[in-house]
Amino acid sequence: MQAAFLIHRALRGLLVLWLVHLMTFMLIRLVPGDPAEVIAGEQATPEAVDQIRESLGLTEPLPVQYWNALRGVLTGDLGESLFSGLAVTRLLLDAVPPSLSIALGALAFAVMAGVLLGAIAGLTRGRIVDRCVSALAGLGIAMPSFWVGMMLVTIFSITLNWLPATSYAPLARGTGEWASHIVLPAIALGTTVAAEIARHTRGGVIDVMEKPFIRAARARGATGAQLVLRHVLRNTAIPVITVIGLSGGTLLGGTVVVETVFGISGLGNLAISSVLSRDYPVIQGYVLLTALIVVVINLTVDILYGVVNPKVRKR
Amino acid sequence: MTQSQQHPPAVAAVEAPALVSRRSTLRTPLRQGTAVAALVYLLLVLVIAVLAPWIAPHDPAAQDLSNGFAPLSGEHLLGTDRYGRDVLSQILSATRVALVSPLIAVGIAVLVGIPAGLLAGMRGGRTDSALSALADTLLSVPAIVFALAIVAVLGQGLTNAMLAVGIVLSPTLFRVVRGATMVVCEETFILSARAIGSGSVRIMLRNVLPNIAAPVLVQVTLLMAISLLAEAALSFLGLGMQPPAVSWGSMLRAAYESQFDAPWAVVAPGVAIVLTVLSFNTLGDALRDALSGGDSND
Amino acid sequence: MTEPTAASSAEAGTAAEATAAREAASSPEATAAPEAPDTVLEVRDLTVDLRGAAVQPGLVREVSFRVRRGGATALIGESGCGKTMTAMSLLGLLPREVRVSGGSAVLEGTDLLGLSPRQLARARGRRIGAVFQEPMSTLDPTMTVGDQIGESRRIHLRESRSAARVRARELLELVGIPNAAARLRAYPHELSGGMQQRVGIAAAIACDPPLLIADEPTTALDVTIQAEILDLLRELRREQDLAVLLVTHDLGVVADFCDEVVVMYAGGVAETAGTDELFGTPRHPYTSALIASVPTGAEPFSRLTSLPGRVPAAGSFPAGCRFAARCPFATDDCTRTDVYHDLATEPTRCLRVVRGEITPEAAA
Repeated sequence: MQAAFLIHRALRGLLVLWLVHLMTFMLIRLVPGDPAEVIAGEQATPEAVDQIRESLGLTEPLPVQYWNALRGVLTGDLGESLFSGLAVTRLLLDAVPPSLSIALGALAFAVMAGVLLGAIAGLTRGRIVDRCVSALAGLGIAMPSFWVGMMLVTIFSITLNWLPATSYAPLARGTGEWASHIVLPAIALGTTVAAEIARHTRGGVIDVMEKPFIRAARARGATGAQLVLRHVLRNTAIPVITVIGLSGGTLLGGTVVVETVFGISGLGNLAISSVLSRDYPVIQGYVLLTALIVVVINLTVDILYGVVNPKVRKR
Repeated sequence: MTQSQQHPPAVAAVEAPALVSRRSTLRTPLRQGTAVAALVYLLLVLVIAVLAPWIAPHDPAAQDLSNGFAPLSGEHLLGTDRYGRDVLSQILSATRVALVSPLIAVGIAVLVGIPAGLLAGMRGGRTDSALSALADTLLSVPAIVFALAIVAVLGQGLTNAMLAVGIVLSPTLFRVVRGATMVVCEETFILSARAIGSGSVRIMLRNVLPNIAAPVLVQVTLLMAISLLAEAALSFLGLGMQPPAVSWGSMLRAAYESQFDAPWAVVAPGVAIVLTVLSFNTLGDALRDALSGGDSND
Repeated sequence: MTEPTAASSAEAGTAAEATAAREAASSPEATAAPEAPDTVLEVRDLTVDLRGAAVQPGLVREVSFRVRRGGATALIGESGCGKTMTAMSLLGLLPREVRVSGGSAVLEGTDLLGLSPRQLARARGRRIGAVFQEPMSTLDPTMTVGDQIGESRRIHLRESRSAARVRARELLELVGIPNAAARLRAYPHELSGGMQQRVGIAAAIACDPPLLIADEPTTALDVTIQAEILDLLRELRREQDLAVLLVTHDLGVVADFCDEVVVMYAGGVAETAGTDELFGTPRHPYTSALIASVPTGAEPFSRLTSLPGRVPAAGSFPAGCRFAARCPFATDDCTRTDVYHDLATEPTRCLRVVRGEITPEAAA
């Protein structure tokens, strides 16, 4: 593993985080007119507006405001919710477990379904199975995740009554209970990503199958599963990992709608309610946290590259 | 003697040392077929959008509280919603929103992304670095998350929501334009245009723009699909289309709220969204294949 | 035979015979077909056709040759002449859209062309090894050198990974790679081109196959490395009794390394001969043109400068002699007459040479 490369990537990640923070900071100050009045709403009393102005620190000169904000971020203090008065950091951290659960569930579903279907399609290129998988992938990309979620609820919760339609059960209430609440949201969230992964796996498998080293492996007698597992999938993994990495953001963004469909109080739900009530500190914190997670995912992908691709590992 | 005739052109490539990769001859007509179907569907949507008030069987806004959640029938082909409004008429009249709102978002993305991309691609240097860093930052946060933040500032409503979507999508277009511009500028005819003393603006209009039109057209088609999905999501969340006006996304919101009373209401608006998004995607892919020489394996 | 229809019906006849010959060869009594004692591979009338086409182009048509134990036979010709396809049909690694439609290829008593795909897969690596042109791209970039060399032993001999690795180390030493123990854990990109090709050879002969198919094994390498690889193959021939079928377009390599030569043109054999005979007294105008086109000591030929015209594209092969259009000696008879007689009796496809009308050296 080349430390220099990873350090470079980490620094780049930090730069992105700083820029994101700068943007969210500027965002509410770019609001036409007085941000405090906008936040408070049209019917607010002057006192309420003043209070908001005070609590956001808008009375200070801009550089001071920025310095305070930056110092807060570095010490883990993202301010307080204008609504509940609770610390934003606390609110966000409390909302992480449900979101993380469905996002990871979705990722697991997407990788399994996507790689399996994509590999099958790539290996049966041009035949009926391939056409069906490709059509399915096209459909998967065109379906809004919240619609998939509602269809799943209609089928599996309302009609068949197999799985719960709403809410989240923490792991503390048992793995089975937790999983039964995760399955449907995870599938709803993961469908689009599964379709993306299937497309790229298919393309990757087709590319790899045409490589001379596959013919060489076949000339050594490798066939069937030996060939696919040992040579084809290992080499397909490199482009597919990129797609999986990029899908981190999609999954995170997707939690916003999927959590609404399933009534799960995670990050997405917190974000929506904050937008509806114009709770800016929470929104800022949410955007920053999301950016942080994406940056971490990207770093992880960089490390994974090294594990899968020997050319990156030792150069 | 007869051997010289009737051989598919594929034969010439057969001797290649690698296992032959035949560009699947079966799929090409199939793809053309689906592309034509997508185009026909989109034209149909356009016609419906224009003619909606005349062809809708009912007034989409007409309430009939005594006939809420009516099942599918000859009178109401797709049933009615909570307030007894005809679902089919709502879907038909919402086709306007389904076309106009992505156009708003894509229009913004075009207005922001193309000039910025041209500037970065032609100028290079610091201008390019700064604009690219900005684009990377915007792209480092999930699109919907940034859109939420912008909606929070601008306020709810369809226009603001689509404005936000347009801003969020512009980095994608920026990257496409920047990349294509750089390639075009490398090519000799730009150099020769410079040599004969053409000004930057003139070069941009005469030489660069026509040459980046193809990738931009492809990207714009694909962005239409993404924008429609974004509109649906934001309206579903209550941040886009505000009642009593309806879009397919806000219809799904209503269906969601009455899911246990009328589960079938989920189907129709969703199908409308999926078909339209699928058509834009199919058209975009077909355009990409056609404009880049059809070398694609999916 | 002077009428076109007569010619094509004659061709149909020979194709039917070829199919019959193939059926006969795959039946048990024919597997012990007449075969010289030191012959490892005997290919007779190998024909490759396009799958499902009504009119067959004859991509490879009635190719016959043999490879002796410890010997080396060259398949030589310009690109597109069918030499690689001939070699790949022995391995059963033809592209999906073509198939072997006739002939036999008896490897130590078994007709490879009569085997099922599964049986053929079992023969690959175990009874026939293969090395290819680009050593870098024929090694799996995600797999260590040791694992790739050991792969065929694990597949065919069901050896454990560690047992295969022990053998892989010996093989690395055998193909002349220093510091073998450390190299086992290296990845292909960490080796030079010459080393990579040595690894490719080690992987191909890991199960001690009697026959190695080498498809342009030195083309992508520097001249000095080329010589080293040929030396290695020569050593393996001598010490392991390995028979080599060398596919090449390089006459210099042929002269240096092979004892028998099959000159191919447009999917068919022009002439087969011992190496010395071929260079001494070529028996086909194409062969003499080939030899004439190589300035001594210069680059291997890429196209025939001494002859006008081009090799016809696969699928548009003319009737009669496929070389006739470019042949300085061609007569009308050459384009009308079927040249596909038994190569065992006359090892050249040139009618006029067979009839004693010309002696091709004159062309040189």
